[in-house]
Amino acid sequence: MNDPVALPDIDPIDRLTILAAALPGAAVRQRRIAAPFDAVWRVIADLEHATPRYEPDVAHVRVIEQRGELLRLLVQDTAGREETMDARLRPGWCLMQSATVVIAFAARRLGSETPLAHLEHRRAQTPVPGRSGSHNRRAALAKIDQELHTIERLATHHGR
Amino acid sequence: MAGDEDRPAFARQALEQVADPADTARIQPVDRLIEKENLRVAEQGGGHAEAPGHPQGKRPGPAAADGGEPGHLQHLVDPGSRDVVRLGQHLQVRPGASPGWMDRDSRRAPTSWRGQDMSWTWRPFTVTSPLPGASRPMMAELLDGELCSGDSGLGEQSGSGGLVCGHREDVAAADGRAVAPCCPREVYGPGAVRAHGAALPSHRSAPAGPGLVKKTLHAAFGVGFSLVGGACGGDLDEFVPGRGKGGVGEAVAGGVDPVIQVYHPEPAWDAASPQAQVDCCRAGAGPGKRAVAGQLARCGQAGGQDRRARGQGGYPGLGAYLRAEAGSSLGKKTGQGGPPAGHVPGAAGQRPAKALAGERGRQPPGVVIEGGDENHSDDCLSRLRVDVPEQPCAERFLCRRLGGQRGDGPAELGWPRAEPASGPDEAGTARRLHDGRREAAALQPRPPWPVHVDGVGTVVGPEGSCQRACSPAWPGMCLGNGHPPATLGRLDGGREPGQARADDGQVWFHKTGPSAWCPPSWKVAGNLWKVPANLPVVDPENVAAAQQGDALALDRLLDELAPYVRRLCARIVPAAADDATQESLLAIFRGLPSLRAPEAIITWVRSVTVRTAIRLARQHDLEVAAEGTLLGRHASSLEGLVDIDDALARLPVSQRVVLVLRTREGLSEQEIATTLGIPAGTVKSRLHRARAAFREVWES
Repeated sequence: MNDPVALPDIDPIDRLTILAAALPGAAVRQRRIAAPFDAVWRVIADLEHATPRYEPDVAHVRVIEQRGELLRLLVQDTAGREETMDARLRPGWCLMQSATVVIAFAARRLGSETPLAHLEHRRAQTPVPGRSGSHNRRAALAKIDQELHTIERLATHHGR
Repeated sequence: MAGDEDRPAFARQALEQVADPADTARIQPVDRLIEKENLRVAEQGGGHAEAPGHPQGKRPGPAAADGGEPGHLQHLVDPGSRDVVRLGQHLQVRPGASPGWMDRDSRRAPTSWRGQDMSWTWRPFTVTSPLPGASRPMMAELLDGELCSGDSGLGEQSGSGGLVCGHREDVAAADGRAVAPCCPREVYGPGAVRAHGAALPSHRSAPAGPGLVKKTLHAAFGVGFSLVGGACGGDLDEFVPGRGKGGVGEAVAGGVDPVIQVYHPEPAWDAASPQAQVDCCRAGAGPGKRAVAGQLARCGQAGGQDRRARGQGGYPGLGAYLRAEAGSSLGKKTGQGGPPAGHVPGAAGQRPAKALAGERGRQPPGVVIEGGDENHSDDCLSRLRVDVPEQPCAERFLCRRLGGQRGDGPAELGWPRAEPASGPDEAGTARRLHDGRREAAALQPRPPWPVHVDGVGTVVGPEGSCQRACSPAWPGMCLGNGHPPATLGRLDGGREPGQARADDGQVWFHKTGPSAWCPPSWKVAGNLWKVPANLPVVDPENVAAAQQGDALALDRLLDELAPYVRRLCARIVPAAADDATQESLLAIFRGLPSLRAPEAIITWVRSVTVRTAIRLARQHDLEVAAEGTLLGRHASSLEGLVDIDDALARLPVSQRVVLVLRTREGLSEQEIATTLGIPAGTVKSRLHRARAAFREVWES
């Protein structure tokens, strides 16, 4: 009874759901990518090269520090502004955070497909009730959908 | 420490029993002592705490540890002196060669075993530190968890039972026959801690003395042993000598059992010569004892009501021993035990020579296990002498204790694992199934190196020992935010805040550190397997950051909380543990900003989790009942009852929850009440009903 029992880890997508519960206003979408997990995660984990391809606001990403799962990134947006992000990256789980934004990816293996969930959250921005807030949320979700679609394309076409 | 307020009373009770070591007039029949002790229970609360000086004024030296007076040893190794004393007979104690060192009556003395002289020295009243420089909390853990100030007056404990309060850092003992783990290269086993005839009255809800000793040493040695003295059943925390049937009884803490086994031997038991049991026990004591458990069961005499022994013969007491020896978490109240009236042990109960011969080669090298209590077969492991060259016994002892509980220890100590017992169905299919699980768990890598804990949450092990790579093997060992995972270790022996020890994959902190980081130490001290196991160590600053929306802090917090939440859910609603875990975590993280006291997060998390799990458990039960499968499931699954969790799962949710929280999570009744949001009285009544229901399920 007191034996150490290896409890299964939380499923990454469930984990993302829990994280989203703690981040009011976070936008989360999930897509079943028609590509194996390794291919999908190769795209996600290639932060320096792949991120600018699916994230329209990002022009450049550079990993400036790495300690195991923990990374520090220097991100330059399309307007030329630079921002550092702290990240935690491991297979199936990628969480990046800057002073203004939180971005997370979660994926799990499912045969030849890969459910991939993506979260985006603007920090220090309380969700606005009403039509304006609803509009912003729809826009955020649409952006996430577009990014997931791009990731799928990158994963299925070997980065082309 | 919450238990502190109890200690003076505890000390008083212990000191009241002090008598002159040379005063043989104090030696009384055990049953009289029981009566006296029962009276003392009624009179508890009075008394005057006075701390007499230690008889020797210092710790016994190695010479004394090695043998005592030769003249006293002679009869101890005399095979002709196997005529043993039974309960109810006089416990005769006489002074040993050195003050405070005393031998037992020769009739009680064990003899040689397997041709080896046991060098037996029964040191009833000698207590020294198991480790030079052992810290007080450590002693508290090792011995009784209730070390009190004041000298124990150990030499003055003639014949009376009960735990004796400790003194300084190195004095503690149990009753008149009891010896704490003392000198290097020798570790005394539970047989030495048997409380004859009397036990300290409990005060409040604190465990009575023998219970503590028993529990502690049980945890230390991974074996089961008996309480004597009218012990009542139930949880050891609520062990009250003289309650229930009174008279001579035994309460056995079987591993992590939430239920204490109680035996009330019939008169025939007292009248019987238990030599056969002794033989059985000797063969089965020690590392690898589980392997021979089946043979032990076979060699006993049929007639007990013990479930384990049923079908294979054996005494009920032996069955309890085997249960504990098997490292199983099984435990149940077996009710009236003892051999049947008219039973004549020694004939059918003789241990077969074949069985003995078969086990002769299994003794781990360098380890001598000497066992055999004369009265009850539960006290099988009378002494464990660890003799490992160039290896301090104390360290071995700790390794054994920390890493090798419940029979699995020798593996990582470099001792060969005993071969499984062969032969026909020895202990039943359920037993083998259960052992199989344990074997699998034992095969997991267990880092043997010690871990020194230097301050709260900071693990300093040998270079390269504390690597993240340990974590997969020991998922529960992580110390929390920013700290490397702990590995199996030991106390550092120091007194710095945050002493920790790793035990069965769990790391516990003493209270001396910041409260938010430390599970209460008194639970560690006196309640070894009721410690909230793997309580998450959460940094309040991390909680505060998470409340501010720091996603990485949330991520870390999730790492820290999820195993605990999952474990709670798995115990409360095993059929829907995943759903309950997810729902609970969602509720926790959704409500995190509303948490006003980050340092109280564990209490809050527990409350949220338990309530969520209860809700889902009720939903699940309703669904099952609606499908009409509840009865069928219940009836059919009884056959596969191999585990306490199985039995728990069969209880109604309300009862299961309180029992789980009390026995598995180590919560007090008040804590349970707070967690569930119900009055403490309701918790008590539910606990009572839950235990009764558990026993009913278990014995069905």
